[in-house]
Amino acid sequence: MSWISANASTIMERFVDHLVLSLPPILLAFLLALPLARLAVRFRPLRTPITLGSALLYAIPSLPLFIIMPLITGIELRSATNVIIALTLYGLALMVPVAADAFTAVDRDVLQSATAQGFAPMHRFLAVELPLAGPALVAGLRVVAVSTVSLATVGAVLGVPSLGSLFTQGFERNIMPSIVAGIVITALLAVLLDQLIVLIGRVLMPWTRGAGVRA
Amino acid sequence: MISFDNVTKEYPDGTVAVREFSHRIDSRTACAFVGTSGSGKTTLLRMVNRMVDPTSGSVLVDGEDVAAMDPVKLRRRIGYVMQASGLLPHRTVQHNIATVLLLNGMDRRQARSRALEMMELVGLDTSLAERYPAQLSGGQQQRVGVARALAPDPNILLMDEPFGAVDPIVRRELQHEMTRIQSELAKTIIFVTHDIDEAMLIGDSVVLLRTGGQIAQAGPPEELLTNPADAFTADFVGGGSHERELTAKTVNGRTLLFDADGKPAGVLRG
Amino acid sequence: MITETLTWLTDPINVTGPTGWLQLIGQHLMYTIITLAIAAAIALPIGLYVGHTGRLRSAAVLATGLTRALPTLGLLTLFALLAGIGLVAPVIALVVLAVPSILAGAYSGLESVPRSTIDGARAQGMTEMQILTQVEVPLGIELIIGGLRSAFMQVLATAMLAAYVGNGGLGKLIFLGMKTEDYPVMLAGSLLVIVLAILCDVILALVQRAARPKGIARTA
Repeated sequence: MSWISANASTIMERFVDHLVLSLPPILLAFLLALPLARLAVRFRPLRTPITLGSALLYAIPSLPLFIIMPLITGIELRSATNVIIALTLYGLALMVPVAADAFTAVDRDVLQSATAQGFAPMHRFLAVELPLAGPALVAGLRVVAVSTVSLATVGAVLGVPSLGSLFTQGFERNIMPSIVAGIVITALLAVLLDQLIVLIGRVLMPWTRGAGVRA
Repeated sequence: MISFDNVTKEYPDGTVAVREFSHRIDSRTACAFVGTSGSGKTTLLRMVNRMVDPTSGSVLVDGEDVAAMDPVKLRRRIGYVMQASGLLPHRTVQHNIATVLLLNGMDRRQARSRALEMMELVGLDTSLAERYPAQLSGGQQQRVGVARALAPDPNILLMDEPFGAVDPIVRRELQHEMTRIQSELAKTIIFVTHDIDEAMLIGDSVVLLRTGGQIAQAGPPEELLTNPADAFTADFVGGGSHERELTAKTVNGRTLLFDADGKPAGVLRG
Repeated sequence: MITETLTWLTDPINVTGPTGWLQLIGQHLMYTIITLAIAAAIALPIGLYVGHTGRLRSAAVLATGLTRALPTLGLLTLFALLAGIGLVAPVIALVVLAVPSILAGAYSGLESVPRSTIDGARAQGMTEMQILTQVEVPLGIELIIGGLRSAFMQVLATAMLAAYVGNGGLGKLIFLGMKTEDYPVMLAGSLLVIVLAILCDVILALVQRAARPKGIARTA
């Protein structure tokens, strides 16, 4: 405890670093996954390459991905941007198949009746398709958030500061409280984001409230 | 013979599915339990092979309390047919029918030939033997379900809305097939259904149930039709409200029968 | 850069030498398999129990969710400090990581079997053990193997970080390269890991597909 209070400001800095590394990939992955998934559902031939690509990308361990990214992007290996791009790719690899399944599962009859009522395609997507796919999308986003928060710590091995720095420095200098604090704060951040997404989902989709009570 | 002796089934949450039900089903007769959902008919059926154990009271098979028997052994000597067929989707038709035979230790070849025999009995083309359940129609799946239940030659057959999920034409076919099989094999059958017509077609006797396993009336079908005990029975079997009454009229020299709505129901022969 | 990496990768000393990458791949796979075997020995029986009986389900879901929120690097360094440098620390950390996926795969595999199928099997007179081995496991095998597959992939990925706390495996190259500021060596290590990971994933996907019982409608 004394170590934590003595290093509170450093921990706070690492926490902010961690948010900078993990929040953009979560948002970017979600926003980019929607059009990609919609495309995969709309144009059948694209479906296999997109889902297969996601699966292969997800199979790649994080550290090697961080290391080969500069080769493709030309961005400095030890920069936050490099980690953010790699984490966004992971997020996409998780989110795109989930979103594709979510859009596929939307009842075709509902969509056709919406079209019959005169919804224009873009309007129909925003007003009907997106809300109906919503619960599954939220479930996917939760997984992306938890996994991104955890993966962002790996950047510390390369020297990109984050809550993971508490692990590397704790290990190198043999400070157990540093590691424990890092684990607890990272896990709490993951749980917090997860619950925040659940909450936002409930606010945006009032019809799903209470749906899980019996199940 | 199956006797229900004052059985009650109460669930931990306080719902009473069946309250103090007593009834006896004679050997080699078919008894239909009919009632709406919540009447406890399936619960009663499942007490016989101990898929459900009563909270109080006992179920006797040939005078022996089933509570004293090993449920697995008991189930292997009682045939069971259910609505959703409950076939094993990863096993062929033949393998499904032979399931209990193999569990009982019959050798493979004997079990296979017995399975083929059963397929013929229930009117299934033996060329379907190597198919998987998903490759069969709903009606065919139900036939496999019946064949599977009959394979070990049980004395008792429990049927839980076996034809409830198939379309009306196939259902009628299966019902008639079932009466034919029963006239050949004469098993002790409990047949659960919510369809009174089906109950009266299959059952030598019919037990009409209200909510909570209360017997509204029990007896042969004719009795329920001609002498309904109360308004509930009369309403359920339709006899009291004239729904089952037919009126004869001669049209073009032939006697036609008209139902309560005045629609032609059939031609009188003879 | 790429040419340097390729030159390094194809240099016989770096391939078959005592610390050559073939040796490291072998080591890496061995760690992964040992860990997975231990994790499976723990998680499969529990998962099958939870899936078959439905008991302790919420506990299993909670444990799975919580463990997934734990950062792998944190666990690895924590156990390394606790157990000291050696094989024990990373193996414990990796087992902790692998258990949730295997557990979740096992119970959700059994839960995916339609209730009516199990009910039918029980009513035919199958014992609980027969229901488990002849009905639930064969019908849920795809998800069970799916759980093992994601655990395998996670362990394979994290075993690389094990080199950070002082052990071998392919991570060694990456950390060696990092220490000596030798990007081509880091890259070589990374490429080897990536190829190994993708190969393993593809093989496991094929195994998973082959295990799907006949007669089951092919959905995906």
